[in-house]
Amino acid sequence: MLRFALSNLLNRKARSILALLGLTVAIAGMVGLFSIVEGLDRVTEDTFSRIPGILVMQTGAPIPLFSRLPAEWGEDLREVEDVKIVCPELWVRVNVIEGKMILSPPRFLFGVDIERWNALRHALYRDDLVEGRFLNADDIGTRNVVVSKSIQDEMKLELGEVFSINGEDATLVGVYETGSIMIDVTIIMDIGSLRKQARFDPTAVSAYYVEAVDDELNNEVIERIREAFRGREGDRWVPSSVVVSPETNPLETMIDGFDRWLKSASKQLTPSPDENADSTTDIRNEPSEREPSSSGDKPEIEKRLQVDESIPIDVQTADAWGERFGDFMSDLDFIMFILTSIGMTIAALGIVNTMLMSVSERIIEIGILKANGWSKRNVLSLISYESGILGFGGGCLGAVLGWIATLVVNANFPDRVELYASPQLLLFSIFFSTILGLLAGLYPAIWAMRMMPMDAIRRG
Amino acid sequence: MQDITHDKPIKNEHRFLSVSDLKKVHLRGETEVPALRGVSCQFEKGSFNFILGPSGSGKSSLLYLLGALDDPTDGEIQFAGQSLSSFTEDQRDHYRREQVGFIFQSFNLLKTLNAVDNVLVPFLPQGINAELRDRAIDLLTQVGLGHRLDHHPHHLSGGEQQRVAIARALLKKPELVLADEPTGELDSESGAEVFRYLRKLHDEQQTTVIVVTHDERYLENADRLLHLADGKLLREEIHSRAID
Repeated sequence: MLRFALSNLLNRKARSILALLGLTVAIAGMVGLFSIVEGLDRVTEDTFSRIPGILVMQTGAPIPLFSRLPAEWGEDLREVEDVKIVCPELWVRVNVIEGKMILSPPRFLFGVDIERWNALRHALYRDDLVEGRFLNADDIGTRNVVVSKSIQDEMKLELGEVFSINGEDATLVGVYETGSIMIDVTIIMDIGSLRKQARFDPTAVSAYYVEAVDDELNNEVIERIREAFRGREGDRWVPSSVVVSPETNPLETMIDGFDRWLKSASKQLTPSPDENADSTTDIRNEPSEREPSSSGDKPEIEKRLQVDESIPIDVQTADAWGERFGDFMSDLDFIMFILTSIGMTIAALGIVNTMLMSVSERIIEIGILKANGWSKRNVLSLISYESGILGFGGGCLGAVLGWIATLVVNANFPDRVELYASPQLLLFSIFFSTILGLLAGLYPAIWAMRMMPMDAIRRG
Repeated sequence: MQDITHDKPIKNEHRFLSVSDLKKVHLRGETEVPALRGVSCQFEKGSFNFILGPSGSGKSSLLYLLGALDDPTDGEIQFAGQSLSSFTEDQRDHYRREQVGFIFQSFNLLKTLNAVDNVLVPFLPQGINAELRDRAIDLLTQVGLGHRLDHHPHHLSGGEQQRVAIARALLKKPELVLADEPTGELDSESGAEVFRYLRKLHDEQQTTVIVVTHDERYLENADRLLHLADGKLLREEIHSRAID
């Protein structure tokens, strides 16, 4: 029967190929769209799994770049029970490297307390070194830097080379590579040198990275930090405010504006965390009308997402950050689903049309089959086999095409996007396409099945 | 010279296929077109029968009703003592698949299949085993197509296509073969050849054969003839050819 169905399709090559192509394009589009979501998922997972400690930021700040906290709060954090190390961080946007304007992908200068960073059990960048060395005590007060492999490749830098960042000379001493496009945008240097270079407010830091004496104690430490800072006065991050830097950088203002636009766009999908920027609410402390989070199965994270207006800092582990991304991506999934549905509907109509034409052309043939004892079920099976083959073939071709497209995009834009078509996505695409083919062929099949043999022969 | 004998009734114990007051009305839009107006007749097991008559006399309608390809408007057909009207859908499929072989005027082979697979068509849904395939090849060889097994219909002449159709009808070893103008699209030589094979296989398998035709060249002695006109049976008779 399968061979017969296949030979029927091969006998109508042009029509079969057109239906196959319609489905192939739709499935390839589906794989492409969902590979964006899966890629983001993967990057997020890769990124946050590399940060086992606790992040402390200004309430409402979306990323450490926009966060400002008093420098003296570091001591208060160190006094919290079971806190082992508190690393102050400075984050500054890189505008120019070697005279070249940096827009996309963005680059950031990360000022780090070198001795404390090296004392961490798990230290990002330090543990991902691929060339040269990481910063050590000898680099304090210098402009020695460690860059990512992608920055090194883009700027064609050699170890020991002096190059300019934001108009100041820096010396490359090491290269790291994490594989995450969200992390490999960072240039690491001594916090004091960066503060001086960027004329960063001496009484402020961007954020703190906290390592507990044991990673297992993170949740308890977070609660203790929150309790320690409850009721304390502190500035909230306001999107419209210019960063606290003594000089107003137009590019940062532009980025700030873009960030606000991004937030207002995401607000259309889900109530945005910075809706409460005017209140003293933790950025993750959503208003009560907020849609239930996709992370509802994680009580400890849910608890931290609860409204608490009395805490001026945003304290969370990387998994909580990941959950926030998860919320955004579930909305992105929905948009992808709508776009894919449109493509699928068009492809399904193509199959219905192909199979209807095929059946109407073969009315006599169906009459002959029934005259030879083929039951209604047999006729239904034959037509379904044919539409199923089209669906399966379109699914396989579409999955392969979509997968190749993700590889090509990743190879050509390694720093900007990371698309990922997982084996599960590819298998699902093939399965989905086959089911779609079968469903689309059902109406023509039922039409053929119901014909009386003699009616079919006469009508033909 | 041809001599037609008078009707000779079939004894009850030999009755294999029995038609009682069969009526069929076709609908052309809202217009009713009567094809059969109360036909009654019997067919003896293993007999070779011709249904003769002019175009529009109801020959083909009667044939298709005998093969359960269509439903009568009224009347009854009994096959081996069982009414076709009482058959369930599955029984009708089984009847067509196992007990009746059809041969059509325009051959009606499937153009995507080769000669062997066309012969095997009734059994494709159930799956083809080696024995069935061997039988199909044997039948095609018997009808002189042993060298054309892999050929598709468009590579076969009309006579060859009809011989494939005969092999297809006989593969199931049917109790009844129904042929609708089997030589209608063939030249005299091919037509004679088709009948030669049909009669040979009829003799070997003792199958009941009913042929609809208006061409009396292929009648032979002892063939049973039914004459139809205007949807009615005019007479039944046994054919005999006078010896000069």
